[in-house]
Amino acid sequence: MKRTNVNDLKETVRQESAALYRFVDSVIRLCTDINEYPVYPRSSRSLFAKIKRLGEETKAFLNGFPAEAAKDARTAFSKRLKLSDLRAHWETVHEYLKPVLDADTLHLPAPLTTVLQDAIESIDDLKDITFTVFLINELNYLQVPSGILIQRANDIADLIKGTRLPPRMGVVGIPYSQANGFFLNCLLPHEMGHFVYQEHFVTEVVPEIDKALETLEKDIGHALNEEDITMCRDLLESWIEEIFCDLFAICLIGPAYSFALIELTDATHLIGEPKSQLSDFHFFIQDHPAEMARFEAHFKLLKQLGWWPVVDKSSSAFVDVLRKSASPTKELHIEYALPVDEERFLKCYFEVCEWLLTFLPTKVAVSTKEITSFENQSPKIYDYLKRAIVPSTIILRKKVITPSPIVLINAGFFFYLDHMADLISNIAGKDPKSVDTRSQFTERLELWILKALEDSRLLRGEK
Amino acid sequence: MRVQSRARYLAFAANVRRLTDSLIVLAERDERTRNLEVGLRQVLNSLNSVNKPTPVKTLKDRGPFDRYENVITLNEILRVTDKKDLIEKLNSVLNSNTRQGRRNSALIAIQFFDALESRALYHYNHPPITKRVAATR
Repeated sequence: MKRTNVNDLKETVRQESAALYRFVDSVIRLCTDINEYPVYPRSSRSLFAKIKRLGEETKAFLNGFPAEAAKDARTAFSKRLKLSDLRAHWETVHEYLKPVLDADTLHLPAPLTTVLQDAIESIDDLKDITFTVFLINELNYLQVPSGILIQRANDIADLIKGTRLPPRMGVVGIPYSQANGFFLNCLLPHEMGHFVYQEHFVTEVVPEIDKALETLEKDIGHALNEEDITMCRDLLESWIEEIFCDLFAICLIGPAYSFALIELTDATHLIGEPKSQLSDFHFFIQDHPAEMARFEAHFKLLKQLGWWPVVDKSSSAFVDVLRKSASPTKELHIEYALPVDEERFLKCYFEVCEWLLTFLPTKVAVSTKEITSFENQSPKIYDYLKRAIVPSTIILRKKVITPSPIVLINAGFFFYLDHMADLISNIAGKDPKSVDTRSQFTERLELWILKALEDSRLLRGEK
Repeated sequence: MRVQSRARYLAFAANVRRLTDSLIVLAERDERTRNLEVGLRQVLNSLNSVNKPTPVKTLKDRGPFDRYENVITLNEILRVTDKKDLIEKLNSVLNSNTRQGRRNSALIAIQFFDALESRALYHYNHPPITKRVAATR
């Protein structure tokens, strides 16, 4: 067998460095070839510029790496391991950069994302947060951890002593098929909530999680071993982060978020399910609370914020889901075997959830200011939509009014739930019972609401 | 969630690497970086409670080493490492009065952290089936 001598090792390190250099170069080249078209939002352009700079810094680091690794034979192996770490991090950037590049302004529900950005900026503590949207292959918005691109980019910056990304830059994903949609994209505030949680609220929420677990320890009379307690804590934190994001979304845009989640999860199947059957909606899984528990919290928050009397007027099955979730007779379970009693562990979740229901509205109650306007203006908006008129401005009691984005978002959703048949009946030759026709006009409705949102922003003179 | 778990392993690898980089600076130049002491104390806190009852309130003393994935990875490495000797060496990195003593302890600590980083990267590339899959339904 041939023995590796020192010179061979130097050559190997050069090869390893060059291979990673080439990979990084191929990734950042995507950020370099950006011209006038396609047009990207400002936040995306800023992200591309920063990833490009990070790539250049990584390349400079790799240029000097063989000499650095050769300095001391005793630390050379450890330094080379860093290349594997860097490669794994750049793989994540590679995975998420392309979806951001796919999300040019022609492939984004720009009016909605702009309105959501405005709503977040209206909150004192969050006004400097900006979001970049990317397109994902998964249909489920909830499967893509937000912030992962920024976190990995910052890890790279630390490892090569490069420049970290600005701290308040969030990245959220939407399914590529929904790029021009409206209804399912009402889930976006939840995704933004993940970034807001990690960036701003985690330090206030985690002590509440620990407090609930400390009470559990007292109740069972002993501390758990480290694997069990870290598993329980991570699980509870995942659930709490999810419900935080749900409640954040409702505080931000109102009941439209709940309806979007009900649509995504097919939760209307809860209506009319056999009593003997315990469906998936009753199970807490690794990264999400049971849907029944989520909708129960939605119901409580909507009631607390003052939205419920408005919601309760709807006869839609979507609202029945919220009504059903509020019933105390339901059974809830955890998908996994835990080292503690299931019911006792769920008590920890409900304790922190109750705390969130009090805490969050004091911080982020954007949508509540719009409830009265919604009650006054929504019947007129429905009249416009029934006649296929975009409700950018409406005439109400002889006054010209520009409905606010929150009013439009919720009116759009309620119209979708309760009045689609009225719209289709007004169109000559169209059958309101046809699934095909309903689908076509739902798509139209989405475009009208997005147009109204865009107009509303202009007419209200928002920046 | 598979994606989330993989992300945690990769974040763990990066956290370990930050410490290793500080140890390399200590071994080569006998310079202490700001994060070295805090980071090593957090690892020592983790090592001291391996396989023991762990009150929730002690988890915050572990800094970024308080995740389930980190505990699993640490325990895997400790199966083939003399824990008592390792704790002694990490303490020596912090407390040794001689340059040679600090350097030798740092080099041994680097080997341990390399093993930890490699294992975290392995799990990132091949997510393990955790005990969480024991379904009760």
